[in-house]
Amino acid sequence: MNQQNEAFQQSQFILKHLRGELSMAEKNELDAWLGSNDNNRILFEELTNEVLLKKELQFFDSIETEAAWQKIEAQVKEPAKIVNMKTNRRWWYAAAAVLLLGGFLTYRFAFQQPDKTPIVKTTPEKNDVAPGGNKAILTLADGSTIILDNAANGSLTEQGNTKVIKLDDGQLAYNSEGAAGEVVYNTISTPRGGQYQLALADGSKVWLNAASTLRFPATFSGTERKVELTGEGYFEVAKDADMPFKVVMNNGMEVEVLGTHFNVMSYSDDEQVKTTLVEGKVKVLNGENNVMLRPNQQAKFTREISLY
Amino acid sequence: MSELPIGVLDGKPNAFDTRNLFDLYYTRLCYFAHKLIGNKEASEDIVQDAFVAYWKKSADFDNELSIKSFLYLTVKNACLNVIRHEQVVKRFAESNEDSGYTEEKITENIIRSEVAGEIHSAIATLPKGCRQVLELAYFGELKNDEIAEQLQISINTVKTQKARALQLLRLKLDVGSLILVLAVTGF
Repeated sequence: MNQQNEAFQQSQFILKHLRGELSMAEKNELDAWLGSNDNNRILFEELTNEVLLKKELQFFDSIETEAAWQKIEAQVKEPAKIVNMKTNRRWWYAAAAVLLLGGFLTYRFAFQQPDKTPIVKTTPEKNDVAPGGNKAILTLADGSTIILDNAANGSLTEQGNTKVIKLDDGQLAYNSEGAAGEVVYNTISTPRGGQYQLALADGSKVWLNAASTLRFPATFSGTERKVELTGEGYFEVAKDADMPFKVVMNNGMEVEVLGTHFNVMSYSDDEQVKTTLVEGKVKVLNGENNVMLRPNQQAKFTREISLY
Repeated sequence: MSELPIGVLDGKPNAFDTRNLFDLYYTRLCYFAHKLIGNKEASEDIVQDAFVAYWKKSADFDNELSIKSFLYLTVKNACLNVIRHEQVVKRFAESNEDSGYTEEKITENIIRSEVAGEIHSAIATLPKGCRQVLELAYFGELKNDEIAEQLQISINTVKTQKARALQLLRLKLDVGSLILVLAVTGF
């Protein structure tokens, strides 16, 4: 038996002595221990002397146990774990690869005929859509639609003072010229298996993943840059401290951006909204709840925000 | 006591729950550390760290004795580090004094901590009314009428509560301690 366990053993003997529970054998052991060393006897007398013991017990009462427990708990339950970004950005790497091939690939999609509400549908008998492809429908302020994979490259239209330009690599750019007039909203929707890259009027870039919709103003004005997202988008937001960038999800949750790169996943059939920060700072808001993300953290929203 | 946290050793007896272990061992480990290094605040920090260390690897333990050993050993080593550091600081100031940290002294202090700790928790687990009366009598050294005044209860209630406390303590501590409590409370 090591010294520590021996100490535990002797403590038990002394306590049993105090409770009157010592067996004969145990009593003999205790007596042997007491007789083996003067210090043992002194210790035993100290522990069975009410005045001395009382003083010791007062020390126990002076300790704030609840505060200590909370400190321990706080240290064990660490607030945040870093996510493995590979999983979260997988589609983005895939998208990057596909962007390179984009010019060579054409897929046929059955789009609903353009009307006021552009809803994208894949052909029902073809659910296993091959991934990738730069496909999207742009709905302009007046309700007219442009199918972007068919549209020729170059200037497509003007929205207020903003030129809408289709670049040749599956990108759409909004070039603002002069002061913002009336704010008009455009909507871009990708079908399942499609994706599209967009440069907004302020220079912020959005990679819209499949089956996603982004509603945004052709020109930003006022005190904030607000866009609405359903589905998934990777954002690289141009810095503008005076006009924070806000992504509003279909469930009312908001991501407020302070100049940064991040991913928002908010498909309407998904139970969770996931926001992953790559660099910079974002604030995720959901009513009363809000949480500040640091790079490589992910905020998952179900009923409450939690960090991963 | 607030509700118990999630057991860290799932499927194992509740006795190994970290909160239970904390309630049982925290104060006596603080007392033990304090005996070695003489600084209450530093002692508490050391013991908290020991619990954090235990909690993080709690899955490695399968019985209470091994947990108890781990906690005492962790606290002891941390205290020895403090002592060694202090020794380096005042190496030239004083000669090495044999003060509280030889193996023998450490063993003595474990026994002190265990015995005092058990007695303290026996008192702490008494029903509230009994405990209040007993603590005022024992630690506050108040007489029955003073206790009655302070707790706004009758002297008879004080006497009943005291008798009940002693009866309950007798089950847990008996003879020696009972005599000791009687001596102080003037029963």
